[in-house]
Amino acid sequence: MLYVESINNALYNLMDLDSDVVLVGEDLHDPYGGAFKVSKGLSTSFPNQVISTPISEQAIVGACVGMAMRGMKPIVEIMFGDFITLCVDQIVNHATKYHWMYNEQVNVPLVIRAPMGGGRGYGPTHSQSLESMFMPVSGLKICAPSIFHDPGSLLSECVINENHPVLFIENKLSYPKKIQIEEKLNGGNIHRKVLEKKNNSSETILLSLYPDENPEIVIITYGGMAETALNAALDLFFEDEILVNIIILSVIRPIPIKEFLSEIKRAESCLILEEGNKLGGWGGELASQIYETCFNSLVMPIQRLGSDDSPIPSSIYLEKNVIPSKEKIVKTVKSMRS
Amino acid sequence: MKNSYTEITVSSLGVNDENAIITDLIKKDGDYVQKGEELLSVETTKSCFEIESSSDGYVFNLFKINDEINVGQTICLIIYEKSDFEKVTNEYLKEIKKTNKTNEFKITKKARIKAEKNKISLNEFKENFNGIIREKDIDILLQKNNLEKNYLSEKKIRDIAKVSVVKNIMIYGAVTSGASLVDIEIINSNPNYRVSCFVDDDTSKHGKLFGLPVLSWKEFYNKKNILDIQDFFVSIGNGVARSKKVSICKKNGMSPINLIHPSAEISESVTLGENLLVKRGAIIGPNSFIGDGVFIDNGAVVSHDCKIGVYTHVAPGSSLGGNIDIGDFSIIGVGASIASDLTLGNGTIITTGTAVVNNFEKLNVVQGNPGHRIGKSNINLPK
Amino acid sequence: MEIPYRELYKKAILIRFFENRLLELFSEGKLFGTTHTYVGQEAVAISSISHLKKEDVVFSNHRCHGHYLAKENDPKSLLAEIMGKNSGACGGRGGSQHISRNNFFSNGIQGGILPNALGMAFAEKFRRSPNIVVVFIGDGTLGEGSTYESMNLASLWKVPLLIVLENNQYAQTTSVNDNLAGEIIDRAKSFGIKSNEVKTNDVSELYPLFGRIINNMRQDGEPFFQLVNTYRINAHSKGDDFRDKKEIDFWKKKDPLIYFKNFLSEQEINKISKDVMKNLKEIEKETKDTQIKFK
Repeated sequence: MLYVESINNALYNLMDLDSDVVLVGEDLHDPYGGAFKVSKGLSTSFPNQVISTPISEQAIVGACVGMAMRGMKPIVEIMFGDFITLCVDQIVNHATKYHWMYNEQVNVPLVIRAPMGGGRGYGPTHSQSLESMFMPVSGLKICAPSIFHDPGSLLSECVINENHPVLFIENKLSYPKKIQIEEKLNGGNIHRKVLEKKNNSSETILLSLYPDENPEIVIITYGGMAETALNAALDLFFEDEILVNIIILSVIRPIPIKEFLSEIKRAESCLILEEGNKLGGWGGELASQIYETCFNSLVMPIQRLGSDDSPIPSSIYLEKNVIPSKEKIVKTVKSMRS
Repeated sequence: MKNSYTEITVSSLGVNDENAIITDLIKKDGDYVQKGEELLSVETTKSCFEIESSSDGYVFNLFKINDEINVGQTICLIIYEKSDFEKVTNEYLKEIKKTNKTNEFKITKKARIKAEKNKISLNEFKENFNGIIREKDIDILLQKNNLEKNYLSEKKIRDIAKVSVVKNIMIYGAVTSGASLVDIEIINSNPNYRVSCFVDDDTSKHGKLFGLPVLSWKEFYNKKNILDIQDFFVSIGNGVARSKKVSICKKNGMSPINLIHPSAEISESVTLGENLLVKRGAIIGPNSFIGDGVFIDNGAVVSHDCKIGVYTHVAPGSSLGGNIDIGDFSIIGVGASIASDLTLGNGTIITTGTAVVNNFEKLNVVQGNPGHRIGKSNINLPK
Repeated sequence: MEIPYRELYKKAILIRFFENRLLELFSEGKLFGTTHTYVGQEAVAISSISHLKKEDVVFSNHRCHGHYLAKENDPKSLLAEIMGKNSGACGGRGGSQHISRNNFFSNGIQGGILPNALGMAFAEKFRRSPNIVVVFIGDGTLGEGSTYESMNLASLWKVPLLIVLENNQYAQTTSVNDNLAGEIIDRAKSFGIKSNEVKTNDVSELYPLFGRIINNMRQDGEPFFQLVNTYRINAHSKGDDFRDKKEIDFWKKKDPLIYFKNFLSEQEINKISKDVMKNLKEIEKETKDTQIKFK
């Protein structure tokens, strides 16, 4: 099943099972079915529950906050994740505040879906990965499934079980890809394992070539970078026999660090990989948490890899130099060992 | 050849499409098409459409109906001249086969280089190997091959033993890793010795190791005379266990041998015990006393006038100054340094890289620089 | 329409006493943070909210005490909240401008509450409930873009949202004359929202007006925009008043409490005031003595 189909199916089932679930966003209606076709067919099946809106991101999110406070289960689609900046006030000062600030008298079960990421040549304002902007926003959960997750079931989990706002990040390049959730991938060489859950809503994945052997480096990443990390790990192994494991988070805020601490301790060090800006990014927070909890088990310093401190160029040739690539990962891992 | 045909590829289809399914082959192999004519139909998650020929020529389809194709993949060839058709298609298919063949077998670069250097055919792996071949796998195969070449079967060893003065040696303790190989290497470097078999209490190890039989003690005891083995070496890492096995073998009338690598330098004035293992490059200076069952590992240095208690292990690269007294059943960790004129009690453990500058009573674990006591050692000293 | 002046006055004087006492408590150093008093605008809150049922929603802004007291009539939970006590409406987490109880909500972000109220009204309509949502905004809120996004959607979706714009003439310290181009009422009209404008502090005008609006909304379920031109007699919060004294004196003559003299005897007014004041003093004493517990 494709990533986009998994989400589309989940939305169908959610709306089918619960008439309080509504999907709100721009250009969602058939025949267009959303900018990335995630809502394809849904407005035909559920005309009352798919609400196509004007270009008013703040009011859309704000209205969904209101709906959620009255017990509905709204899901907002932000057409391009970059437009999330237009809803920041609603996320920071409203959605994530009400439950706590009203002393837990209300819940805001709101899911905001936002496609992020580059690689398609959409340029500086349509290619960013802005989720790390929300790391300090308490009361917010950020879920960012990769193709090694089933994004649809994670979305359903958020809509059905969460009582508080969730920012659900989808990677644009992942939409047309097949989800890979079998135990063995890549012709049986890659072992995929779901790490023991410490919190029901998170699903942290471990990919390894030799599950019984301790890797030299473990890459910790999420979302669209997961596949790039795997390709780099295969290159490093086939070229130089450097054994690299990959930890792929689904929930990146709060960081479910307890789920994968033991995997970090098995390695000599880790490389934290994200598509968003490295400066002030998610990886810095994670690195600090790792240093705080398992400094002694690290043989060498943690490295981080993220986008350069630059806007993302439209030219796909220039874009490649800004966003982390397989080649950059390989280079970084090799430099860690020397 | 390249000039005689055009490859038809699938270009980017839609916002979310990376693959498509072939739903119909409009032209069959060998059909003539003109530029712009429809060749085949494909279906993506969203739509169905036809792919057109970009030139005139004869069609050769590379896929069947219902096959899945990726964006950018070549799906069909248009061969300009009918006369070239067979030649082009044959070579093209051969090329595809060749690339597929290398793909079906996954091997790392290091392993490939090593295999080529040692003239190992990768077919050797094919039967019982699932997954990726790496350098380690080639090493294991090489060891196996070498041993099979160098060491003879049980029967042949017996035959040779009968006609020569070579002493057959039993090694107590079989390890699949290189540790046992070291023993074999040292024993066989002495023309008077020949490893004959292993004995191990662990039943899971019984069978063969490096082409040699691995027996239980009982089995060995029954065969001992047939195999003509009177000499032994106990290779068990744990000092206390080692001491017990040595005494059992001796009680049964056998004699322990010392394994001393030819590259080790031992001063003439050194007093040596029995069942010693002194590995490559170790140095033992004058007037030293080395107790029974001591292991002196690769490159370890014992300066002079030292006493090393029985069944103590001096790990690789550790350095002992002069006039040191080390107790029995102790462990001196890899790369540890011990200053001159010190005394360490029985059952001491010095951890890796520690620098010892003070005396320590028995059964201490010493770590750091300067080495300090960090706990009680778990060595179970015999009464 | 019969107007319950006694009840309305009771609420109005409660708000007045409560707010003025807060300012005194601030100067005594008993309170922290900030507060925005509702003195001078009482007529709007009591005239509109008195028509609501328990199930109807009120969404208010930073200047929310008057709306809260009018809706919940519970000065004890409000004072405790402002004094930071556990027994406050939100356990001391919200403070002066972030209050919630039952179907009352307030938040101190200009413009941010309008989309929330819109969504709540949508939810009421979606579930075919007869309830309406009333949101209070000020002239200052008109500077925020979300106001217009929300008005557009309210009109498109036809939801039962009553927007009450209390034009108290000042966005903090800046006069509407320096802030607003064109006519306020035209902004609502341009979205096709039914709208009305009045300039009064007189409950005898405001109470029936809101009665009609709310009754109609319950029938047609469509949004309505009511502009009330009023005046805040006190400063925006505290210590930030730079207005012309003459202007303030002019509006003091139009104090909403004065109008009650036309409908209630002096004796009645004094009695109600005394009772309310007594009750407030008891509440204050009780609240001051409460110990803070940490969870």
